[in-house]
Amino acid sequence: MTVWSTKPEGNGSALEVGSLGPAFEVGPITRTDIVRYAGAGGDFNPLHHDDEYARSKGFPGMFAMGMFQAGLLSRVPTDWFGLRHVRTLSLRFHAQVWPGETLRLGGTVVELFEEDEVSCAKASLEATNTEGERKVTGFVIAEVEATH
Amino acid sequence: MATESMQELIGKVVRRVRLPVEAGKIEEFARAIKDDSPRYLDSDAAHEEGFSDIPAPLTFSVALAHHPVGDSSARSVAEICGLDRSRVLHGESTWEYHRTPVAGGVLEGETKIADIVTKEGRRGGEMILVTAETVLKDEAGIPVITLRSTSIQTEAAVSG
Repeated sequence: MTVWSTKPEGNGSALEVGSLGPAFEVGPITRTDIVRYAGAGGDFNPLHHDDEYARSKGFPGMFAMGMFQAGLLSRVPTDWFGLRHVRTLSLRFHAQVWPGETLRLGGTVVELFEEDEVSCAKASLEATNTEGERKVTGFVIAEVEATH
Repeated sequence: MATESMQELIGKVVRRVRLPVEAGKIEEFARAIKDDSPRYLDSDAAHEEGFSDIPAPLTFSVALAHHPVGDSSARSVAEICGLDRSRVLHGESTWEYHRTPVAGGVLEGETKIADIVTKEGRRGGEMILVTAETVLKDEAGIPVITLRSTSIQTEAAVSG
């Protein structure tokens, strides 16, 4: 029987289909959080820092750029599997994140497999708000350990 | 830009990119994504995790937006293709990591348009999806991260 687990640089957890990754709750997201991220990441689209501009374009106000919640969510695979062991990260954006929302971030193993003699896990990832509205979904593929 | 002439961009390189991987910027970025891991703050902690220097967080590549090459105004791929950034949303992004970049180097690359697709929106207007691919390479020309991203220009807002 094969026993799967993260590599030592991850959180050391055993893995099977359905295993949950580390879960985080972040929020309430503030305008300052979004502006700080704009400065760090270089996205100066005024939709993400200028309420008046955002309203003039038909939005209720400024909102976070998708890459902000992508960055928040990326902590799940990083802590779970270890930064160096992440091979692929793929994220899809479904709904804007607004100031005042709190996000729940987590993941679930969907597959364990060997590829070219490397043991890998594929896990779904998800960011929702506290009402359960899906903001970001996606998956990660990471190198893991399999003991036969 | 008319969508017919936009199609001519498929397969073309639309911009060059540059990403200095620097410890101070990584620290700022890690704080912004609320990740307080010591590996992003302290080179001793990075060494303990087996990195030669402070490693970049998974989504750090976005910071290439700070370093436009050959153009004084930083423009997104969507804007280069003639889309209206006030109604462009981020559809999806994929990162393939060939290794973890660490502080001390500069990654460079080119962004190529992989596809441009138009779709009918729910209100009968037109949505345009632009998919672009960028391979970030190190000074030796070896790929470090392959990025793939889709931007979506939504239908024009319904007036009234």
